[in-house]
Amino acid sequence: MKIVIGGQVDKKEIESLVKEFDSSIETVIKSDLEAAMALKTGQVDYYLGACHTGGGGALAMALALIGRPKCETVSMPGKKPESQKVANAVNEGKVAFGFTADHKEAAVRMILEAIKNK
Amino acid sequence: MNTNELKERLKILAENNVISYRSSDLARQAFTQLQQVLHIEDIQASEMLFTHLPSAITRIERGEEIGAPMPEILAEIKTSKYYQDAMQQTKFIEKLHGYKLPQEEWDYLLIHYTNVFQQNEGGK
Repeated sequence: MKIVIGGQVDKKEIESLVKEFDSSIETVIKSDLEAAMALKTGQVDYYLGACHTGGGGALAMALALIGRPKCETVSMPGKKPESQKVANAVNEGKVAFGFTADHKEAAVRMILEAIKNK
Repeated sequence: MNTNELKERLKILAENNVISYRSSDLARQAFTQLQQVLHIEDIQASEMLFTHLPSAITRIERGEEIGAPMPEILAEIKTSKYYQDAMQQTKFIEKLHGYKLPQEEWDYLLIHYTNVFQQNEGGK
């Protein structure tokens, strides 16, 4: 499995969280635009991105390039990620996930667990 | 990011209905204004602000709300020497928008603008 880290902030930290969860997952860090293109062209399987609001810089380019049905805002300010909602999103075939930087630990874990259990 | 890169970014977002064309136009005006204030063409680390800004305006147009930023971040930016510069730019956005910005959106813009001023060390 290959994951691209896009979004706007905390990219290295998100990559570390992915590697901590499963070191066999391939990761690559790109700009939000390049990351969304990598997902669109099938170079990677999933997109993760963070910003301050969860849906702006984190996911805007993925929303534009691969479409809203394939994207999920996992957390927003004051709205923590919920494992069941994340699992539902993954099972529905969503492949791009945005979240707020302060929720990155929980968000990354929930997304990766959901993918693993898919 | 330079003007051409901004235009390309806004074009992708607007054509795919992630942001409105009105917010795209507003973001271009805000970018030009910031270039003039900073006296630079290429504004470093401005992608986040100029993705957030049209997203925020679009959110407001569509009646979507957002939670407030963390108080710790707001407290931190108030200590920045660029806080007043960020305030001026946010006032400019409100003027361009033509309506009072929701407090939460105002605060996020302040955070983003302060960050960009810091990244560019206030310009030349």
